[in-house]
Amino acid sequence: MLVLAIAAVAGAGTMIVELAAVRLLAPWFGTSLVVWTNVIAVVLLALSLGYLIGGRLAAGSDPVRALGRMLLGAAVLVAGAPLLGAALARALLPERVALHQAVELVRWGSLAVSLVVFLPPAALLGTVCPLVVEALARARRISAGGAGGATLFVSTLGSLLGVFGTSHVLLPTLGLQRTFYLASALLLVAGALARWLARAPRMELVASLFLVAAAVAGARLSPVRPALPDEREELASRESTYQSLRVVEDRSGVEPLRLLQVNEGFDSFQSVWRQSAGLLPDGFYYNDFLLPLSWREREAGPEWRVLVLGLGAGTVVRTFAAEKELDASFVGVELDPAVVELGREYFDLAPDGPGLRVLSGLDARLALRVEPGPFEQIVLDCYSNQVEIPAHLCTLEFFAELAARLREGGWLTANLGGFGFDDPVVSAVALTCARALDARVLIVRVPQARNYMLLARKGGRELPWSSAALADATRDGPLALGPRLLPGFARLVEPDDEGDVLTDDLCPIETLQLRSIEEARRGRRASGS
Amino acid sequence: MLLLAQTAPETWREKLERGQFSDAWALAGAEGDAIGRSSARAEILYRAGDPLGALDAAEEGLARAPEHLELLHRATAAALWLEDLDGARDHSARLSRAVATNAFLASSEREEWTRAAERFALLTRELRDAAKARAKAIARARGLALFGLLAAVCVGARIAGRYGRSSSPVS
Repeated sequence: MLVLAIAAVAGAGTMIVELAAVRLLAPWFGTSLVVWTNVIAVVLLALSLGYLIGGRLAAGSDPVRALGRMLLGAAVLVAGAPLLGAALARALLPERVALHQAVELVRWGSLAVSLVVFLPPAALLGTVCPLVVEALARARRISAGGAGGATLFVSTLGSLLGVFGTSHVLLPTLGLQRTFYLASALLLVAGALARWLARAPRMELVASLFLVAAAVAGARLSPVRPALPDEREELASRESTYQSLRVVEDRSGVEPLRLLQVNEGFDSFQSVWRQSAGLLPDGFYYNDFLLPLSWREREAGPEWRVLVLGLGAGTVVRTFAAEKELDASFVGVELDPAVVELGREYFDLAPDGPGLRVLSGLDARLALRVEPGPFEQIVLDCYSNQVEIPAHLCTLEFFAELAARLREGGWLTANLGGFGFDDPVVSAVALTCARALDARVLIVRVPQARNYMLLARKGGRELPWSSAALADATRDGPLALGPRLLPGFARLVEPDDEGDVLTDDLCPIETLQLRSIEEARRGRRASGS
Repeated sequence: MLLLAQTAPETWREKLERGQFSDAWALAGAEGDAIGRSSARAEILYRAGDPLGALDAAEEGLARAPEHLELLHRATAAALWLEDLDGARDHSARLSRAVATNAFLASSEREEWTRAAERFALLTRELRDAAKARAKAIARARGLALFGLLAAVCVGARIAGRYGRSSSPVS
């Protein structure tokens, strides 16, 4: 029975390593589909090798002794993963890489680190099942099929426990490094148990303990996140259920700015804070969510209900404070509760009250089911970077659900990263939105930034557009239109334009994102229109 | 004289300084000389945060006046912003040459332009070095990944090859 318990521990250890591996790579390479694919592929390759090696070792005289050796080896390698992974990622990534320059590095770098750091321990863990099967078959004198069935049963249950435990308990409570150390400790105990069962000498156990302790001490001396430039200071960091977060204060400008960086970040951020609420300096797209206020009908009252999908740390809400005459109230939806907590601690996100209600832990699409509206404006700010647009938040059906929650004449505003009006992602999402609302969509380039703001009105109300540029504001808004009035800063998309339309059934957004970045890399429009 | 100065119409540059982009654009379009028009448009688009538009406008002007210092300056700055290494290298070198061969510059102006050209040359070298470092990093990562994959496949094949020669019973 004890060897079966060992198989369960190894199964749990494998899944802890796999899930934590993605999070270890996140601050360097992100958690895009490419990274997930690489990690899963490497673990599968490792397990297949492990099964092969385990099968060979099982033919030896004492499979339980070999089992102990494999587990102790895995324990040492798992303990060393945070140190080795961070050191290798740091060595592979040059300093200050922009997002559009990082695609190849993400693809090959995450694969290389996974192969070097995670393949060896996962392969050692892969040897466990064949060894346990052999030990069980010999000890109980049962068939290989019977022993295999029992082993796979407990091992898979262990894996199941590892999956749930890692995502829901270990990473959010212990953090990344301690999760690896806990996995290492479990494997050490399992290895020691196997050595005890085999009455093997204790030397290897002592050596493993020493190596694990050395790996833990080494990781304490070496940072496991990318270094910050001198003018930036880390105020807080957290491993949430969804992502790796850190709050950074930038003191390079006239006044300090706080940025919430998520995963790899590269040259992007998720939320921003400055001491005074209101408009942010040029180049921050949050200001452009206030564009509808410039064109609001004169007869409209001061009440303005806003649904913010992708609240983050609450930057949008603080930006609306620029419009003093507005009686704005917000419903903010944020998937990651840790982001909301950091928002309240470091970004002056107001507590819930009449002006703001936060729904945290809810996916944006799910939140639409509990928030019927109607709203004067919907702010869609759920697209992170250019490689991580959730497929279910850019489809025809999703935009139709958004439209159903808008008041007649209400505004849909969406922030989108891109490299031009003809960028595959920008044009596909804009056209999908236009089709869903059966209305024109105005795309406005955010000056000094790589962002585009999509604006559409429910009910086909006219958009502020002349033949060449945005029309002047119908009333004084808080945001000076400035450069947005120049030719080349705005474009209209008609519902009957030709192009890709994304649906729940067919949404090749990952392909479009990669094409977007690839085209930007080849062309010279990385920062331009 | 004072009255005249007060009532003189504002130039595109003054409008631009006041953040009135569309007015500045309209005045720039009314410039009679094509090179001046390109120069004004390049400046406005650059300040508006559209480096590609600024580069296009500057290059349009440079097609007529290949040694125009302001156009070369703006084109180099825009290319650097876009991280367009070829463009930055080309325009930066042309700017250095144009400053060196321009016979009409006063010595203080020449000094200022030389400093600007040297700064651009330095930034271009930094851009080139960063591009090289990136290419090296990608090659290193790709090499390591391919080596790792190959090693894993070889190990697997070697062990699988030995399976047939084993005679140990299962139980």
